[in-house]
Amino acid sequence: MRPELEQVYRQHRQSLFTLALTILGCSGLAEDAVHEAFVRLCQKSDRPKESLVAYVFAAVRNAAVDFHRRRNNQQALMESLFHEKGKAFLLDGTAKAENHTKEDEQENELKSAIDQLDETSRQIVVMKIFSELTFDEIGHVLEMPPATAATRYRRAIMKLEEKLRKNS
Amino acid sequence: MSDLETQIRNISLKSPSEALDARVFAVLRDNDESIIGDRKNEQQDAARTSDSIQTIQPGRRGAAMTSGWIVAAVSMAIGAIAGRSLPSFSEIHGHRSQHVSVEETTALNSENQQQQFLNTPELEIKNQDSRLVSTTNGHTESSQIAESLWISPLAAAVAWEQQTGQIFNVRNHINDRRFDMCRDCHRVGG
Repeated sequence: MRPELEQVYRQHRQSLFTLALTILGCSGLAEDAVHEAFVRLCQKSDRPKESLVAYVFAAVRNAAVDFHRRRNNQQALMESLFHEKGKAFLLDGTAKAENHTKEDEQENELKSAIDQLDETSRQIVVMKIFSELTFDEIGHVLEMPPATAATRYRRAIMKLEEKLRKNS
Repeated sequence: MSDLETQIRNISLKSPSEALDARVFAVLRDNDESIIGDRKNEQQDAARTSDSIQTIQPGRRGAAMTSGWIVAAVSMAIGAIAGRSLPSFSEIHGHRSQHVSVEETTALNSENQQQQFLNTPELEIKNQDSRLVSTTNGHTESSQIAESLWISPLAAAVAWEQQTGQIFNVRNHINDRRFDMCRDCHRVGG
């Protein structure tokens, strides 16, 4: 099963890390959680009945939740899921920065809107958009019916659209 | 996929460090089989330890049971020895019923016999009781003498006869946990 796990990790490493980050809000802890999840997966000899991708995502989520509990359910650190692109552009030069200001503003608005979503909605958005998981798989990871996952995803997208509309 | 979803997809997420890749690949690859093996060994050790604790526990329980039985047996033996050395309740009662029979109470009426009775070793011992001495010397109310649980009923009867000059009738005597007096006195409320 290890080669398959390695393949899943290579394909979804970004989303797995982001999923852990949505729960823990700290890059270091998120990395530890992902590592812990793979250690646990290697210890298990039985193959999952469902999709391996969903299985790995569920393992990472469980590890992150365990880490969160070990910190005595402290308020999650609100580290953003995204790179702060705008600041890097400012270092390149004023003209270039000016050209990208509007795009950056829009992007930053979108980022902050996603960061402001509730934890579960963020997890669904990350899994759906960045890893293209099906709602069945998302439902399995989050231990909820696929229909509920789909509804929550739709609501999250609507919320984001509303926020962007208001800001514009 | 809507425009917004495409827009979101184009945003660059924070990526994990290379250190995470190294750690995960180390776990996944066979080189790190030893790490997992170590963990498994730790778990097995823990399981073995818990098993050994479980095997020790019945032994401890058995030792506790044995020591409990020994303590119980020793305490029973001590109780039996102590009990034999003490006069039994039936003996005390038998003694009383023997001595304080109707015939004897009539015989006790004579002063000489009373004196003889008082001079018996048993009564001398009883007289050592401070309460008895105080009651026989000071108190005039026979009911108080008889009420005292510490005074021998026999001595109380004798003292009562001495003080009142009457014959102590056992049949009329009430003796229970609360009262030890003649019925007449009890009716009067003495």
